[in-house]
Amino acid sequence: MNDHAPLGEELLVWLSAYVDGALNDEERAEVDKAAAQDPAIAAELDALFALNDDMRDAFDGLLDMPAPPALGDNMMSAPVVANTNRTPWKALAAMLLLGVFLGSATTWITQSVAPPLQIATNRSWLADVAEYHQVYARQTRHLIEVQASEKDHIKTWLGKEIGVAFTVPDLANAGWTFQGARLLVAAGKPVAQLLYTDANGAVIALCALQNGSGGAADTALKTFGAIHMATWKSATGSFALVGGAPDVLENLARIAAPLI
Amino acid sequence: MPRLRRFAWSLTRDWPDADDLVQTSYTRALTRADQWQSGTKLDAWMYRLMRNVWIDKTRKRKTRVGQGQEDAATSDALQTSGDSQTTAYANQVLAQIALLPEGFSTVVLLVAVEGHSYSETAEIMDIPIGTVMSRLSSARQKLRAALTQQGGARR
Repeated sequence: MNDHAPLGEELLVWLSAYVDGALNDEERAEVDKAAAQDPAIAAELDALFALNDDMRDAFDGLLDMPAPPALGDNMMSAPVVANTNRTPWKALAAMLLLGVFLGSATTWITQSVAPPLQIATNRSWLADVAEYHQVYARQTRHLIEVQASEKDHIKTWLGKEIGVAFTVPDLANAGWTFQGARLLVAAGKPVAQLLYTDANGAVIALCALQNGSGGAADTALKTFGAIHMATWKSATGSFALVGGAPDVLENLARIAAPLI
Repeated sequence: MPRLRRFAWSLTRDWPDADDLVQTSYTRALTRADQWQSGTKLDAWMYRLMRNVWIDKTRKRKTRVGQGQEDAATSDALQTSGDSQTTAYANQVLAQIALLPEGFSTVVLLVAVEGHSYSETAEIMDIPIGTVMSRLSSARQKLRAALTQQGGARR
């Protein structure tokens, strides 16, 4: 790679392959070394990782697009002309029709073929966390796995699990009391979740996982259905404050980011 | 079905065409089911079949979307559900993906979003691995340039 001009076309293809996890160890080490020596390469990698998140968010949105009712009806009446003596045809036809009956062929594709991790990586971690929040925020009696009183254990346990050293930010002055923590898996990665409640019993979660790109990012607001988030990145971690109103989250994110 | 429809959209970049493609592909899948080897990846097989159906269709029609005729950035067909800032930005990203040269958006979907390997993607798309790599890099650079030009601060 040293033969190429910085950020020449061929180098960009290498960086793209790095982001896709398609390089071998030696090639990956070479890119890491180049990125350490050249800020332009490091910045390019950051931008490519961020673009990946954007592309996933964009394509994830398409999964929720309602299908026209006629699509399923027409497929049900699709003519079947096949060699019925062959076993695979029977299996496939059954799977295809089952998919239509259930209204989701995705189910049979993912459950019958793809390994679990691959299923998980089809969605962004933020989309997964948003879904989790809609469930656990209602479980006020079973909100956490480890109590707030075990703050040191939480730090050690979750820091080791997600591979990011962090501290539990004190948000009491902003009206949010730390209740404890739990461990989730989102987009196939372990996610640490610190849970806080306010005087009205509202729940917010501060989520953290390893930052794949290594690049920091400022606070940004995101929305998944009814769930709002404020996100940011440090050199080692990707963070999201989940739940509550956008302005509250943005404010809390500014308080929490330097503390975590 | 959502994943198949999404894959179809990445080929057609137009919802009516995508739904038509899904329907035709289901029919063809059933009539060619004896070609599917039990134990092989069904999603990759369906994707490859769908891509072949789309090529047949476009050869017949000789009209394709995404070569500048359609202002994808303003197309209603691209709007995803929701009305938040995030959705607005996701729609902006999607509109630019729709404007990529033919075949680029599908490679982006397969590798960057669904996590298929380069070799799986090459097989589905029936193109060399080198072309997968160059399309991905080129798609990323085009998207970055377009989003930056639109003042695309991530929201």
